[in-house]
Order: sequence, then structure tokens, then C-alpha cells
Amino acid sequence: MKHLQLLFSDLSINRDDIYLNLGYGGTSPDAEITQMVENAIAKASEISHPSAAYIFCEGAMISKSYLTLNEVQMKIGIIIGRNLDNSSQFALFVATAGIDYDEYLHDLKHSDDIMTQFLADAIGSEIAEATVRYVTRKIADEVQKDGLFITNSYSPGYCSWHVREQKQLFSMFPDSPCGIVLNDSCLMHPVKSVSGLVGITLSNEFRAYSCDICTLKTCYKRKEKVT
Amino acid sequence: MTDLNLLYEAVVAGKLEIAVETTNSALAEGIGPQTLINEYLIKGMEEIGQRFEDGKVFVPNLLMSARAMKGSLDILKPLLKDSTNTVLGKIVIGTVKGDLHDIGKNLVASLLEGCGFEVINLGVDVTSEKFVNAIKENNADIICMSALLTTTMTYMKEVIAAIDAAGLRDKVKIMIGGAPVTDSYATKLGGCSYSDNANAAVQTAKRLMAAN
Repeated sequence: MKHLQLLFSDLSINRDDIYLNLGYGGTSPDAEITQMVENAIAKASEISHPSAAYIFCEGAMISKSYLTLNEVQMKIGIIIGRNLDNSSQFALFVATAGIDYDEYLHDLKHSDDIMTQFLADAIGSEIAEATVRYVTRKIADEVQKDGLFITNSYSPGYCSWHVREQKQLFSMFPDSPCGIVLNDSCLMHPVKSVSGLVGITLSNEFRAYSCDICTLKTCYKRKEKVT
Repeated sequence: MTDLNLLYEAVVAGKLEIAVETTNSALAEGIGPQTLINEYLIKGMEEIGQRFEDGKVFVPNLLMSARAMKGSLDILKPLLKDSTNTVLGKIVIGTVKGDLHDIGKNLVASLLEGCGFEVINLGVDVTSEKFVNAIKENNADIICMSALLTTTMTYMKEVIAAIDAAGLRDKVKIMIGGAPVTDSYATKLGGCSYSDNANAAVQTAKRLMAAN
């Protein structure tokens, strides 16, 4: 397993994604709220210690819905399956905003300031996503040396891949990668964490997410364009 | 003389300090707390709620307004002879067992409180027993359950079964919400009301109270 301990400054925090997390679909906040977001990002930069880990493994789609990785079988569903059918190598990853940020979020809940809680929560989600972007870029750079490419990243709980399958994915990592543990409901702790995989391909087959055929309207991948 | 429209405008614009200052000035001039609540605070929240429904403002604006209203209410409530007049209803809210997500639930709790409900927030990972006890202890009118995972939303059924077993089903209305929850899931559970956002939850709670 390769472990990456990152600095906040390593991450490309996407303001538009934060605004989407705050409920701004297609517009930007007014100046007052924009400033509050900036203040919250500055605070997060002091607290968050993002990290990520990844492993490579052999595998193959054994049917339209099932993927086998190192003899571990996962039902990833047709939507993801059709985007991984050209891969025989995969990279599994976990990424987190870190336990310190989780504790900060927890402490905020004791305050009466729901606005600060809401901003910090949205920014925590973006930190985890930015960490995913960092680690998948790292994986892409690594496989590119061999002339290979990566697919989109996919996570349990999205694109019809049931969240309970996250147990299978975690079974392939050493215990508590990056300090992340799963509870019985397949909820990660720290909460602001993401797990997933990318396929490795011979040709650049990066495809758009199939949001048009997915029923999960609340999915974070279902990005409404910010105009 | 205090311009009371400032109070309405402070709630709509989410200006806590102005709301508090105007409330104190109005009280000093002898204006009754019930007048301030009914004529300015509630109307301010109704206006921002409508703007949200119309897509003109967003969740942070709602939160800022709720915060301004709560700041004013915190001053006014102790001055009322019968505080039950200001409470639209008692609501027990929590994220169900197994789930630790709570920002959406807290948004709903905050808005409900800002709009005049008394809210008992049980937090996260709440068991059916804890929900039932809270309903009994607080004589709650409504229970709100939240879940963010498909693996935890199924626990709502257990809570409802526990409410039935405790003989409370006719006394308490049930509201549910959360990312994987849908209107059809509420129908499947039976007798539940689903809301897909915090403002809609407030409207649903008001509707349920009116139907009581």
C-alpha cells in the first residue's frame, strides 16, 4: 500500500464544488457568504491533515455487474461495469480529510452556530474530494510511465454500486488505511472520507459519468453546471 | 421611534445583530413581544422561505434568517406569560441508529426552531428506544428521522414499529428525510411525510400541526 500524507496546500480546492455542496446550483453566493466560505476554508487549512492510500491489483469483469479483484468479488453494477470492461488492472484508493477535521466538525456541533457547521461540513466534503483528485492524478502519473491510462473513479454508494460493498473494498487494504474505519452500516470514520477504485486501461477511455441513466438524484457526481 | 420593519428586514436579510438591536429597542418602547413575533419575525421567515421555494435564495440564506429570528426569539420568549403561545409544536428529531451524518438533520432542526417550533435534537445514532422515550418525555407532536445511507434508512421501519408498540402512533406525526429517502419510501413505510429539503420540512411540519 502506498500512503500519501498531504498538505492542505497540495489540494486544489474547487470553490464551485463547495458552492454546489452548499446548495448553489447554477449560481454563486453573495459577497457576504463568499467571504464566510473563504474564512471557513482558511480555518480548514489550519486543521485538516488530508491523506490518501492506494494499492494496485489484478482483476476482471466476470459479468456485466460483477468485478473480481484478487479473488474478491464485488457487485459493482452495470453502470460502472461497462466502464471497466477493458481493464485488467485496477487501483483501489481511500482518501480522507483526516481525523483532526472530523473532531473539529464534532466540536462545532456543540456550538449554536449552524451556519459555521454547514460551511465546515461542505468544505470537509470538498477536501475529501480534492484528496481523491490528488490520489487519482498520482495513480494516473504512475501508470502513464508504462503507457497506461486510468478510467473515472467510482465509489461504493454511487452509480448503483451498493454502499455495503465497501466492506469488500476495505478487505483488500491493511486494517484502517489512513486511520479510516468502517462501521457496521459501512459508514467511514472519519466521516469526510472517500473510498473507490479506478480501472487501468491501454487507451485513454475517460468517459463521462452516466448520470442520465442513474436514479440517485442526490449524488455528488451529478454536478449541475455553475454558470 | 423604532422602525419595526427593520426587524422584518433583518430576518429576511439574515442580520442577527440588527434583529437583536431592533427587538430590544421595540421592547424598550413598550411594544409587546407577541406583536413582534406575529407581525414581523414570522412574516420575515415566511418571506425568506418563499424566496427559497422560488429559487431566489439558497440554504445559507435560510440559515442566516433562522439565526436572526432565533436571536430575537431568545429575547422575547422569556417575556411571554404563556410561552406555549409561541411554540408551533414540539418536535423530536434525530439521525437513526448506525448513521452519524447530521448536518442535514441539524439544518432542519435549526430552521424548525427558527420558525417557532420547540425542537428536541437527539443527535446521531439514535435507537428506537431513545426516540420513543423522547416522544413520551416531551409529549412531542412530531418525530423527524434522518438517514444518509441506504444501509441505515431501513432502521426507520424499526422506529415506527417501536412507536406503534408503545401506543404512540395516533399521538405523533412522523416525518422522514435524507439523501436516499424518497416520497415512495415514505409511502412504503406508511403514514410518514417526506421532505426533500429543510424549508419543505418546515412547511410539512406546519401542515401536520394544522391538521392536528
